[in-house]
Amino acid sequence: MPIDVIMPKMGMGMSEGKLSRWQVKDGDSVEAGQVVLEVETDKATAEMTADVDGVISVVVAEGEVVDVGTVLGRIEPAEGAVVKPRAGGAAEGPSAEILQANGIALNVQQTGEGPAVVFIHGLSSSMELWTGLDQAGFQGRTLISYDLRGHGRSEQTPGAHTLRKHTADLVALLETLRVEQASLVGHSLGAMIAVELAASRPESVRSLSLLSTTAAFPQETRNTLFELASAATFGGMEGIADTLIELTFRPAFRDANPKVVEAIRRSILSSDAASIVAATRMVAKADLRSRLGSLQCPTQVLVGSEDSLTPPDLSRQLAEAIEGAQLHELPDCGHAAPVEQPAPVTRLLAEFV
Amino acid sequence: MAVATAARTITIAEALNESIRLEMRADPKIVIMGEDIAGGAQVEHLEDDEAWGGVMGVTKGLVHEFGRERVLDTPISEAAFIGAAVGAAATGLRPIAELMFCGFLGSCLDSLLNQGSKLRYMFGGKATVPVTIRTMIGGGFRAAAQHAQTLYPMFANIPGLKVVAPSNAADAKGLLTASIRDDDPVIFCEHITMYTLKGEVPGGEHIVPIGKAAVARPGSDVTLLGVSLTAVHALNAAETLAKEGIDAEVIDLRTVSPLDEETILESVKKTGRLVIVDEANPLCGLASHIAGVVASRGFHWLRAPVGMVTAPHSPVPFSPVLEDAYLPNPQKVVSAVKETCSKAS
Repeated sequence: MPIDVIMPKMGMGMSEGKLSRWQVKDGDSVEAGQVVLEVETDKATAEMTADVDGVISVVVAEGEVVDVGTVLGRIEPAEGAVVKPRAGGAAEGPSAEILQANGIALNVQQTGEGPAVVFIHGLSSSMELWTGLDQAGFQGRTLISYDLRGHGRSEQTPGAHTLRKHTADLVALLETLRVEQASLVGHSLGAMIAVELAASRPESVRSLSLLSTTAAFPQETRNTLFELASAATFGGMEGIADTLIELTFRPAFRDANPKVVEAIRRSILSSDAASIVAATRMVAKADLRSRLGSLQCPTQVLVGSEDSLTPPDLSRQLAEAIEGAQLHELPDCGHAAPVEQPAPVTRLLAEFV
Repeated sequence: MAVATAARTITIAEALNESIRLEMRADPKIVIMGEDIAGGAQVEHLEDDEAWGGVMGVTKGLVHEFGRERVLDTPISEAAFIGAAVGAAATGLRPIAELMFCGFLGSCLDSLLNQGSKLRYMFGGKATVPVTIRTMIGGGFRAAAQHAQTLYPMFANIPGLKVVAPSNAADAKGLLTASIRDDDPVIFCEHITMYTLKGEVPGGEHIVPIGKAAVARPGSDVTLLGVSLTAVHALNAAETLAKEGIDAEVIDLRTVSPLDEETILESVKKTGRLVIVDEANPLCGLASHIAGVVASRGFHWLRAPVGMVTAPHSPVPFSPVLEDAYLPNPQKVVSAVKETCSKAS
């Protein structure tokens, strides 16, 4: 999905600002952190930087005065690029905003018009997981992605994580956004949340796309997850970043995309260890098998052929347990299917949602 | 997916946690109990995160993996839950109880002195009491007289109890695993200041046998003997002494009871000099007992009187200045070694 560069709100009283100068041209390649334009108000001037590596397109011309939140330009991310965490006010505006839902602050991004599709990322990830998908494939849809509690820029909450809490977050988010029914696209833990919502509130869910997931982990994987939680409890994220990356990406992808992996490692290291520990324990204990029989909506299950964390067998069992579910196995793909194989994932999702 | 088996550098607290977790996975008869070892009184059910994981966080996370039926928060009554642990052990479970401070022995002594330690003997071997009591020893935490004691000599004085006290993370994991698997009651002593001490620890199953001391540093001029934190003091002192031309051998006792007399005597035979470092009170203590063993079995090898660096016969002071003066430290060990080595023979 393209990342918008928006007119920032640089002060309490600021409602509009002037795009004083573009420092790059339409179609230029930009790097995350590179200054792309300057904006000014009657009080201040500021430089805006790119949030991601990619190709920029100019939306608003130099010299124009526009409202806060207006899209000034769009960056089409390079393949596998990861969005750089933004600082301060730049996160405000319509492209990504902090909403209060279920009593906590959730970082939400919404674009497009039409029936809603909600993208739910997995453990120790963020909405940036979906950056590689081609937004053009989803014409006529409202695309909503958000950071789970304790992840990305959403609120870090004390205490245990439960699927019930995460599902309540999603229900509240849909209510806040006035979405009555949505197609859910969940990756790993995100797919568990999607299943839980579809089982508990079937009227809210139009379809389910379950990526790289399982209804319940085998005991050996549960043990590994509990070990990860314990290592992070005592040693912080540093102690588990490498293992998380090994579980997420297949070796060939790691070797071919060192910059992507490094960016994700940095993102993992900046995560809140207590939140990740709590979410990891929740995932380890999750067991949705009794929920699958009641699912009524159209469902597709996607899995990478080389997924070592949730191998294809688990997806096969999942698809068999859900009436009418389709199963798609993606070749040359590990656990992070939306990052490793964005093109086929986009195609399968776009056709389904 | 393989369970991690590679050695990693982790803290003593994490090493203990790992030992308990692996043993609980392997043996459904293991339960753990103690004050706040899961979550404390505010927590009603599993969906709420544990607040403590024990006062030092050693059991953090275990309630999530094993549930509240096997990770039991107890009332603040050592008499009740140490009694329950001993009773459960005698009747088929393999409990691990956390006696927060060893001074709380005062509240539950009967369970250990008259019950747990005696049952196997009194029933002619037909009963076993496979309980492990994890408990904190030691000063340096400014925790005052009741919460800074070093009571392994009192435990060791009771036949039927085994008493261990590791000095590093690898031994902490290996000795705790051995203690849990042992069919006798084991008092597992953890020094209050050492939980964050890091060391390389083997992944997967790791066992250090009870009753076997380690030669932590080979040397030829003098034997330094310590246990738990005092073994670390001895190693630090040995480094200082090496710079001054004194080559010290360091024995980390690891187990107080049963006592590995052979390893001690072998070392004394080689060096001819012995300095014992012990944080416990000295009267009828560990240092004096080992001095007695060496005097009766190895006197002919001694080239100088046995040196002893111990706490004085006094409660642990609360004043930081006085507590520092009270406790053994590497400087005191260095001085004692120099005195021992200066004596003629």
